[in-house]
Amino acid sequence: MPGWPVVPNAEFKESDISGREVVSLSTDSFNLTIGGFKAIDYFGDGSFYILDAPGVCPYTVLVLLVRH
Amino acid sequence: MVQHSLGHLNALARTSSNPDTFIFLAADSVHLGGEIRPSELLPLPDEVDEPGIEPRPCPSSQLLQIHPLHSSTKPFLGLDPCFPEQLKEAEHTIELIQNFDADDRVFVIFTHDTSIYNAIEFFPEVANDWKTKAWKKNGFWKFLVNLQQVASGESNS
Repeated sequence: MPGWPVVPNAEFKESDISGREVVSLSTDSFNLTIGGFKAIDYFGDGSFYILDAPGVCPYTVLVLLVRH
Repeated sequence: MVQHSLGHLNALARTSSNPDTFIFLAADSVHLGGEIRPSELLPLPDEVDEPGIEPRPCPSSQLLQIHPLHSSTKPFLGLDPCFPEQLKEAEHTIELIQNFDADDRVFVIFTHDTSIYNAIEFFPEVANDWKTKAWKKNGFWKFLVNLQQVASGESNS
């Protein structure tokens, strides 16, 4: 944060998040356990859970959720 | 950068209530079906009937010949230990995903899985009816077709 072109080598475009509230997840937010995964009930209604799934080769190191 | 930098995330999306169904988005935790299948909970069936498999249907005895461990309850493929410090965590994540994979309420999908391309419908179609449309069943053992081709290529070379 912020994105390109403000940060020349950013991996996302600033226009993707412009005008939106960006919520960063912390390990503290994962207050449920589902099938052994630490989880967040994202909408609070059981419709969508985000799971902490560690251990993966090079790809993702940081994930942000963007919402209106 | 967030304060507690998280690693990799998966998601579990509800596709129906009463009965409950979900799609498990395994993202980069899995790349090929052979990394999670078969498992203790979902052993290799006695025969696999998929387009492209040889012979069709293919008896499990023949498929077990190309299994590195010749096991009907362990995945065909292990993880690439390119980041050894993460390997243990990655393997634990795989074990947890196997439990979801064995649950008939849950359809597990993951990145780069071309085996489901002909088994599912795409946006703007909706995915809520995946179970009645048998999307999970349709692509489930399809990775074996690719493995078979790779194995026969190796034996020819």
